[in-house]
Amino acid sequence: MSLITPSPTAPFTFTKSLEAFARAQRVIPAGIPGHLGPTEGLHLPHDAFPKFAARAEGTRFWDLDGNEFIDWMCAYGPNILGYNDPDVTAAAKAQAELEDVVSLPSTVMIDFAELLVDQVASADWAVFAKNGGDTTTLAVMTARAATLRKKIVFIKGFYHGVAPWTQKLDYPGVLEEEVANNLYVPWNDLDALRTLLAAHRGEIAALISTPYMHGNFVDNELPAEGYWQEVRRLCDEHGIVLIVDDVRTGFRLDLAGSDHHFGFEADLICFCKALANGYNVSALMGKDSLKEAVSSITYTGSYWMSAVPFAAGIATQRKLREIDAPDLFRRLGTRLTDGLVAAGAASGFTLVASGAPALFYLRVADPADSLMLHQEWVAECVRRGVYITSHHNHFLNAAVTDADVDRTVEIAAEAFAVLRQRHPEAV
Amino acid sequence: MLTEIDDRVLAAVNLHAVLGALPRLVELVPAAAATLAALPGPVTLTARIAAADRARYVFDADGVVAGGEPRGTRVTLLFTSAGHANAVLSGGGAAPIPLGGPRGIRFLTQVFTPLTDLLSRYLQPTDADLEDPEFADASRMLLLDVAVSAITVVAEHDRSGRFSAGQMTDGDLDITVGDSLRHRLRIRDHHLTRVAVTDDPPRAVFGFIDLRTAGDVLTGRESALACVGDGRIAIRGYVPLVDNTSRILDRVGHYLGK
Repeated sequence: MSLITPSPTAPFTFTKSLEAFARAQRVIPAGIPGHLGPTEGLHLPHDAFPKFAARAEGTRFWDLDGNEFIDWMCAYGPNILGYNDPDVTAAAKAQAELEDVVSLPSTVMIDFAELLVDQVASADWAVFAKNGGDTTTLAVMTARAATLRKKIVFIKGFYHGVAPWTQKLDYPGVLEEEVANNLYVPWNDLDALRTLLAAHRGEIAALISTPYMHGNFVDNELPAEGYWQEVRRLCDEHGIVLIVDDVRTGFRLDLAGSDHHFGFEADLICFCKALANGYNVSALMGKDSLKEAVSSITYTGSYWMSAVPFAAGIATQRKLREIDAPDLFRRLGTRLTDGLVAAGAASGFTLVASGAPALFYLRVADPADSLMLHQEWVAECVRRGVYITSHHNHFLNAAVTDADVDRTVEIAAEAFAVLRQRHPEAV
Repeated sequence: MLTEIDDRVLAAVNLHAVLGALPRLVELVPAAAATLAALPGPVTLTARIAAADRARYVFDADGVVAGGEPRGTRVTLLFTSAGHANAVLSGGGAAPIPLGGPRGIRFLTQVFTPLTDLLSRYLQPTDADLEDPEFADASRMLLLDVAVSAITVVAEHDRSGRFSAGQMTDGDLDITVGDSLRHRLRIRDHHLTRVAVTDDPPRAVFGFIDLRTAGDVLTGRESALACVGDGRIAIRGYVPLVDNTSRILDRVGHYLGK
């Protein structure tokens, strides 16, 4: 397939995308609900971003207007091997020819569970669902069933899905009772955690956290030395189930799980995005000690045992092992972020790259800490064919080449130059 | 999401945000200015809820000032409770307890009541009212004025509003309408106040493309989400300030019945 290189001097237009969005608005609330749409504060300004994709291949997607993008969002995570990976597609096609959604599950579900139990260091079993939020909800229910306690500790800046218990008091449609047992501590703050646990001794069912702080609108933050080991010890001391939400980070840092990467073991660990390269499956995995508790919970869905995503998941995980994907992501992510930071510096801007290179987070620094320069730079990148977003971490996929990295840095440099021309005085 | 309304918060919204739009009403609406022009001298009106909140407005022939030093004739509107204040100020037929001399009482009947009736009409416009472009513009500007003030009240006194304010970091948020109208909210230590707009850049901007969009969103005629989606509402800068202010604005809508 030939890839069209966008002209460095002709920013894209999105006429067909915007027309389609107007159509969508008439029949779909918000046009594109949720994180892929413009109402989440990620398309700033609105008309600098395409709204609909027409096709995707490898590292790229093409929008309705025919614009080609190097995609660093990777469908917000699911694209881990490259869009339409031939091995995964072949495995899915072969399974689809046999069966998919049937009155009984396929043994391919067992095959996938066995593969994952073998691969994920802390886990003895797997329960499958469809979305990350299915697994975080099941994890919390499991912890409550096992401990007969109500309260859950969250790390401030968290995101664990959209179920009511994951939201907040002032969110529409969320009742106060649904968040009444939520407790909050800052990330990397062991003193605050110790104080909180002492104040609620015997009341806390679980602590749920991502492996590191990859929240939006803030520089992402890795765990301090010894942080996770002390959290693990405190959870053991207080009889608290430790839940790791590895939905976003899973298999990009470590194929054995991000808890393994940071040197501790979760009691329950949630996976989704990178499980099956875009085929729809998620997994809650856990320790034997919680197998009875999770078994006792009524929790299922119409499509949760569909066989095609299991086959795709097996192919995905095998390939990730073969190519040592986390090492590839680390190398390419570091090369990319180093290049972007240098491109910013060449135009006199400070670009801050934070978090793990495999899931890099970006921010153009400005004295007012307003993010406006950053939003402008992101928009100029998108208009030139690099699909990034202004307030969310990005994702590596295994189809990325050094040439993709170079082209991205080139476009980023051009976007910085545009920014400098527009803001000659900006720091 | 709280499903109940706090009478004390509603009373504060009425006393400070709704009546707080009287100065702007007089600036924008010739009929209001004409009503005021008949005043022979300054009048200081205190709206007071027994053992609770109060607000003071000084009226003279040139305009209305919220707060400030009392001048001229004094008159008090006493309410026995927040619920009583809300019943009166919502036009539900309840009567306040007026405390004042004959001049004060005359002010209430001949100036204050016509002004608040006019304000109600502009804040609750009918479709027919909005066909008059001048009325529509004034109405929309007043609605925005009330909403911005009410945000500060709700952020300070309402449980959900305080929660939202508790999530906010320091900074200025500008609420704009096109290039012509700009209000500024300042967030400091989780408290929101209205401040004068200066040339200092804000940390975030919540911008309506035009007055019609602002008015339609604030009166519930148009979906804010749809407007964000198609660019009629544009946000930029530190988005959490906008997000949390939007949550407070939603709560304002609960109080103002939108």
